[in-house]
Amino acid sequence: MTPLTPEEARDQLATAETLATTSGTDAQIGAFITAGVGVLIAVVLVMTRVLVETIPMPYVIIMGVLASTVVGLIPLVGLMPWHNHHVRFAKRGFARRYAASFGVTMALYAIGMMWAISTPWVVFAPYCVLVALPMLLMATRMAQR
Amino acid sequence: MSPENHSANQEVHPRHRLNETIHAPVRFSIIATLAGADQAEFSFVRDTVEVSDSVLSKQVATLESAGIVKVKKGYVGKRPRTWLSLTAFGRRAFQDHLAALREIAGG
Repeated sequence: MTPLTPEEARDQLATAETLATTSGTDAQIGAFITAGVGVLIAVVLVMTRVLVETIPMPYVIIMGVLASTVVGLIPLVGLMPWHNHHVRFAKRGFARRYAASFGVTMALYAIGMMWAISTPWVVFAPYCVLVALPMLLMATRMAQR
Repeated sequence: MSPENHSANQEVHPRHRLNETIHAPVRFSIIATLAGADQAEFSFVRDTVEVSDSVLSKQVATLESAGIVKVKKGYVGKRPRTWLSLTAFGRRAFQDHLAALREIAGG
């Protein structure tokens, strides 16, 4: 192997740095998906509350509606792996970060569901923002990388 | 300096820790591109590194046989695709290589 000068080594390190941060628009789309899913889950929480308030229904049906929204949202966990399969460049760690923030948001969502019927809006509305927050923060970090 | 000391000094010099497989310019660029990805499509790496399909295929085969890169073939819809990613060993080897480069760059 030809011995490297410090200057050549610095050039190689600069090349590595530049190439490692190459991502194109795919990373931005990944961040957008993460933010979108976070907002969607918060909106579903609000809509469920509105539905339960406006349409009188037996308690069992209400519980059924709440449970079915949770079950309906769970497949969204596969959205980022699906996205990664379809893009040319799957940014490192995006699927893991998405899954982690999705898990926290869904846990907050499930807790919010228990409050959905009884809590005053003044408490419930900020809580809905809190539900979306983990995925919004993660999306911001993804977009900055 | 005794011959033993001279030999010991040569062994600790960072250039001895440079990985010969990674050191080649095209292969270095391929690995550096993949370092920022969970996986990247063959065509993306080709366009980023600015080489032909055949050159990339040859270099990827070398990296695959060294256990540095993993090649996965599949389909997106009906279109065949090839995805490249670094193995855990490849990622470690690249980090070690970069560490040696940093030492050399530091003089």
